[in-house]
Formats: sequence, C-alpha cells, structure tokens
Amino acid sequence: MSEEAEAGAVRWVRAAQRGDALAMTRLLDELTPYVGRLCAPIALADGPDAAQEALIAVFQNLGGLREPAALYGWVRRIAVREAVRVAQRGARQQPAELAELPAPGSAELAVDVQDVLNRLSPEHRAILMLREVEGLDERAAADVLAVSAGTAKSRLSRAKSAFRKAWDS
Amino acid sequence: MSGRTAGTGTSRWPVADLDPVRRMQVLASALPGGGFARVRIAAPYERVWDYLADLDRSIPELIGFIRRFELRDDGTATATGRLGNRGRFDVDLRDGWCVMQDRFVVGGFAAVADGETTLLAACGAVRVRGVRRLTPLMLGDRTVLRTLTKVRHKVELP
Repeated sequence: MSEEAEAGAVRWVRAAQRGDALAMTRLLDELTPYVGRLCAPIALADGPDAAQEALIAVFQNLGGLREPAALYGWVRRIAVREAVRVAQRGARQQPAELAELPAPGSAELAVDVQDVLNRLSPEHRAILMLREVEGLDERAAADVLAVSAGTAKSRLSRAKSAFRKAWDS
Repeated sequence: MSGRTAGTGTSRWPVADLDPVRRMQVLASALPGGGFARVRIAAPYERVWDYLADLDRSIPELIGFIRRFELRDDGTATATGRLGNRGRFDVDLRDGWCVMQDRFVVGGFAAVADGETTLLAACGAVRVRGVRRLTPLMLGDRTVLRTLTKVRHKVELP
C-alpha cells in the first residue's frame, strides 16, 4: 500500500463518514480488491459472498472508525472474521490433519494452492492466509483472529502440517 | 471459486471479485434510510447499459420529478425538476456503474451481464437527515423497484 493510496483512502473515509456517496464509491474501489484477497483463501467458493458481507459490515460501521489511518487493520479484522463465519456457515470443507508448509519460493508452491486450501478448515485457511499472504507474525495474526498467541501458534502449526499432508496426498 | 488468483511469491492464492451489482448493494447498505432493488432483465447487457448510460434521456424517463438532465464532460450535471427547480449533481459514470448525488439525494444504477440477460440493481437515498422520514415514500425499496421496472419496459423487446 503506497503512502499516496493510504492518504487518499483516509480522505475518502472522512468524506464517506459525512455521507458523501461518491467518496464511498472511491473507498469501495480501494477496499474491494483488498477484501477480496483476504476473503477468498478462507471462504473459497463463498469468497464473493464473504467479501460482500465484510464490505457491508465495513461500510455500516464506518461512522465508528475514529482514526481513519487505522483503516486497513480495521478492515482486515472485519474481513477475516466475516470470511471465517461465512465459510463455517457453508461448511463445505472438512478439516485436514497435518507436516510442513513448503518454503516460500519453492517449486511446490508454484502450483495453484487452491486445491490444497479446499482440504483445510476455515480456521486453518485464515491463519495460513494471514501468515503467507498478509505476512503477519503470529502475534498480529492472533490479534486479527481474536485468539491467544498460543492458539494462533498451534493453529498455524496444524495448518502447515495439514497443508503438507494435503499436498502430498 | 471466485475465478481469479493472485500471485504471492510463486504461489497463487484465490481472489474474490465483486461485480457492480454486489458493489451497489454494499453502497446501498451504507446509505441511511435508502432503498435498494435488483431485477433480472431479459435483454443483453449492452442494450440495457446503452440506455441507462444516456443519462440525458434515461433520467427524465425514469425519475418522475426530473424533467431535464444535462450531463457535462466534467462529471457534473444539472437536473431540472417539474417545477423548474434546479440541482447540481456530481456523477460517477462508468461501464456498469453510475452514482449521482446532489446536496439532497443520491441514486445509483449497476448492471452486469449474465448470458443473454442482465442483472440490474439500483439504490436511492435522501442525504438530508430531517427529510429521511419521507424516504419510504420518495426512495424506498418499492420506489426503486418501480424505477427498475420502467427500465425493463424500455429495453425488453415485446
């Protein structure tokens, strides 16, 4: 996220909070790809539903965002929780058991991860996405998921193991 | 799946897209006291959007209290009401997406192709807090749906 884009988003947040629909449109343009990247690895086939519900939650609660500079962290928290909720509601996937995530940049990861994600639970997918796509450390990921650092560590370990096992099967 | 993936390093993670109709529903949810409706039109997207995007023609045909609508190149427009009153609108018009607002009201259309049919959505809301009590009469869901029904009559072949 460039500083310029962030500054623009902050300006749109303030105008949107005053009821400016065109500012809401610009903010929607800015946030939709971000929310889509967060929701799809967790909600999979329900990704568009999850992204839409997350954005509705974001825009309906935008008036309560006191510090616009915190926009992206706030949106991330909402999007991940909505995606997990939608994925659980869909209950389309069975949790896998688990070994280790291929190293970043390895040839194994060059293949589409989608099929492997299909075999993981929403909670596993959420922690993997926060770690591998968002680049968060375990403490930050725990904060987004509203779980303890120990729980996040444990989930990540199981998710990596599941990822490897699913990959090898 | 969402139909798209994004590269992260050498991996490819799925990405979810929201089409304009879904985005319009998000926007409508953020407009207090507004209306939203969605219909399927038995006409191809190009015909539907060509009609709607010609705002100078479509807005007076669709919105009963507007007699004339003049869009300028700078994205602003002047609406003239049935009583001769005028309003200056800011307009965001793109392929499949149109949002217009002046000081008092906001309205929008969004469309997406679905085979030989078109999914069309619209929203409307009053921006002035004290006037929102009248919103169900002016721009509620049923009013928005009536507007979409007018579009259907304009673009569907008999």
